[in-house]
Amino acid sequence: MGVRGSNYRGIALDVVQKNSQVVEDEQIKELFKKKEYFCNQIQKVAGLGSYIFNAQTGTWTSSPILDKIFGIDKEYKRNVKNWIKIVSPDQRKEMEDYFIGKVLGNRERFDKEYKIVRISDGETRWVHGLGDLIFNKSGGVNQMLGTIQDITERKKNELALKKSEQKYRDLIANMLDAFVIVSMDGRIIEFNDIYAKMVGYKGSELKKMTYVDLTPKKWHKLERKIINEQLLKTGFTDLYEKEYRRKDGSIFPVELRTYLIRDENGKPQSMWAIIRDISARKKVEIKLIEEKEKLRSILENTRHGIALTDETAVFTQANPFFCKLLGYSEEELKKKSFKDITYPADLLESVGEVRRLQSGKIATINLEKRYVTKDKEIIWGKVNVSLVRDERGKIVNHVISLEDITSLKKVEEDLRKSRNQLSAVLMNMSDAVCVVDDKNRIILINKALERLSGYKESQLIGSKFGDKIVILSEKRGEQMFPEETFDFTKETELERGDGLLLTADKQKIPVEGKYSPILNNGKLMGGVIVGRNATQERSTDRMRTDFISLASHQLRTPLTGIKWFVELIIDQVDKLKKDDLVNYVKRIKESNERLINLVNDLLQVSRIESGKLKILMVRDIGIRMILEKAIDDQMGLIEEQKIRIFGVDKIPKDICMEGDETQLIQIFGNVINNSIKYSPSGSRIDIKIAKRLKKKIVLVVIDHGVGIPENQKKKLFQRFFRGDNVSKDVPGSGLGLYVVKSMLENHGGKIWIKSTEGKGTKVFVELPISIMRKAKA
Amino acid sequence: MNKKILIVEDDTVLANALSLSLSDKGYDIQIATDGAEADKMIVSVKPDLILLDLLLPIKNGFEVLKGLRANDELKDTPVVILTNFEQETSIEEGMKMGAKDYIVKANIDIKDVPEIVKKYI
Repeated sequence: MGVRGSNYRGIALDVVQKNSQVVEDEQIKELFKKKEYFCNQIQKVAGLGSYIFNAQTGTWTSSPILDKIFGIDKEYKRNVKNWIKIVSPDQRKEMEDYFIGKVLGNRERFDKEYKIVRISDGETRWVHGLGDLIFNKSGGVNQMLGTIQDITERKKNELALKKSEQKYRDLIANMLDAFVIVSMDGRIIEFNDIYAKMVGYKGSELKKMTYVDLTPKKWHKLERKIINEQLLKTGFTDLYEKEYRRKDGSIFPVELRTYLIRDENGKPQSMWAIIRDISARKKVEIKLIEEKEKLRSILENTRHGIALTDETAVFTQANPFFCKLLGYSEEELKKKSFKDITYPADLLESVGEVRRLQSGKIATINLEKRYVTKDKEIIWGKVNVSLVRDERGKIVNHVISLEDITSLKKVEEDLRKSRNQLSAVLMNMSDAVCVVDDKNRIILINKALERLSGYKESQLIGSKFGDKIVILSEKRGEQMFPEETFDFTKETELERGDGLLLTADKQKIPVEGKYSPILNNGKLMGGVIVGRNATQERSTDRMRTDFISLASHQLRTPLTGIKWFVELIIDQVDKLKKDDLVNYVKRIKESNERLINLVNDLLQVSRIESGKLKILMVRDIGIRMILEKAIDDQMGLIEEQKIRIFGVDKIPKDICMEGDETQLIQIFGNVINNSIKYSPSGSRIDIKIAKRLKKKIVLVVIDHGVGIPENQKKKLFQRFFRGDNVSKDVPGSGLGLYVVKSMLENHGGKIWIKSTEGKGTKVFVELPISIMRKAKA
Repeated sequence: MNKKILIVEDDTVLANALSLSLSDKGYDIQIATDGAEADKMIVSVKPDLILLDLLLPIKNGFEVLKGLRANDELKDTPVVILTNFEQETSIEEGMKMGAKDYIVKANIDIKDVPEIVKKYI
């Protein structure tokens, strides 16, 4: 502070004092003039104005420098009041009190820095006033000599400094980051509250510690290295991360940058650092990494294919499953567009959807489509595509999520196929099917029901079962299905022997069937009626019943004959004549014979009908031989009836057939037996070849017997048929021709008859033949 | 005058037995061996009772019965069906057509026949 230095002040005072004491002395005057000049020069250089205050008059005189400082001219009245006027209004009171009270009153030295308002230009300036009181001999105040120095510039600098220092202090105090200054050996010198709070120590504790104490050991080496390699070389470090340990032992991550402070000689003196607790950031970072990892893991492991394509739809990224689905590597996919892997038939739709997506008509694409894999396999995918746009709305990516639904589609396809098959089966099955809903309304019928009922599907759908499709009881003649009390929740058999379906043209067709309810958790959803035409079955049933009735009738008749005659003999045994008795016993024998024949015939019929009649096929059986043996078997009857048989000797011996010899003999035996039985005694029978083809022969047996009534020819081959004109006279079971016909058919042959009642009968027998290569001996 | 019984029976052995059994009791017995013959004899004989078999040549027993019912003069002639043919439907039909009884031959003794006849004459 050279300006304020005591040297200059001393000189000035000395000069002023001497100046006032030796006013009259010429020499001194001269000297004074020189000295005054000198003094003025000094004052000028120092910017120091001087004054003399006369305590008696209350006025003061001033040096030119002072006039300049105050901005006053010669005319300015230099009294106390006018000095006060010069003082800055805000200090006038203070300065008046100071001057009157402290200086004049307490006789203190005037030493005060204060503001003035410069008279010449009204500018506020800072001045430093000094003044010493000079007392008279009585001890009163005589004068005050002093100087005024303009200190405005210094004040300005001081204020600026103070301001910036305050700013700096505020900054450190208020900064959110921790701040610390440490010595080169690490001792903590200065720090802000944040720092103390951050590490959890009191300020006083910190001042006894080093930053190394606060750093976990694992960071020491690294930090030393940073200090050596960065801080000491360049004066600061890069931003780096380390950890601090709090007083409570907990460790937390920080981020810091350290600066070097050198002394005036450039020697490292201390280091300072701004440190930020990055726990929260680290947490977020870790979380972010975790999330990223999670996402990555999801993308890697998901069973969804996920891929991105750029704005031109070329792949930019694909997860492993996407790659796996399509058989391409991610790199291979990056050269492809979705169009390259789309199944051609699905391309049009895909492209259309992408256009709709891009134009904003839809937010996402949801599509089931086919892709072609690298191995040229077709897979079904359920694909979801959405867009990623940048902030200006430009398309950046398409996000594709792909699910493989090939197997699902296959199942669907199989299901559809099997449904089609099922429906085809249903529609074409021979059984009539009708499905009704829970209100018994027809909802589905098949073709068989259309055929059976004569109604068209359109006529039946929606109508109630029972309205048009009516099933009557054959026995009771009334509607039997569904009856009024019908329980739709129970499976019900439609009796085989009783149902009659009323058709569209009012026909009654025997039907049988079954109703089955469709239940879902016990709730009736509807029912299915399956039925079929039972005409065949019913006629078979009737035939069976008829057969049993007829067979028992036929059996009972001879049995009754035996019974009754035995009873008659027993009843009349005492009075019977011998002739009557013989007659009665003959009747019994006759009935007995009939019974035996009947039982034999029935057994044969039963064997034929059950398929148990075995045919012992033998090749090369001569037809003539068969006829000869058949005639031979009937020799007893032939002789009894005196019948003559002609023609067999004219049949070539080499005509052969394959068959069961015993059965063939029986066939012709029966035919010839019939001819004999129904011919008059002594008549002739002719056996001839009626027709001979390469592979078959037709033989005819001609008799001149009773013939067969025209209206009964059709029944001729039925079981138990007997001609009206013969039954009472000629015994027979009515089974002979039935057996013949059945046996012939088993041999691939046929039988038919031409007959005129009363004139005779021609029985034609057709047989498959072969020519014997070598006639049997 | 003896009561006249017409036996319609195609089996000669049975017709013989029936005839023997009834003529013993003093009935006038006539035998028809088929349906057509029965028709004629009903009209000519005008029997007091007809023993009617069902399975007959030319015309069966039901047809004969139907013809009889159509004949105003003779329609009330009592008819007993006497047959070895046993079927629910035919029994029903026989009774419906006004037969007095439906008797299965094998189920009765020959000595029962006069008693049956006596019931309806």
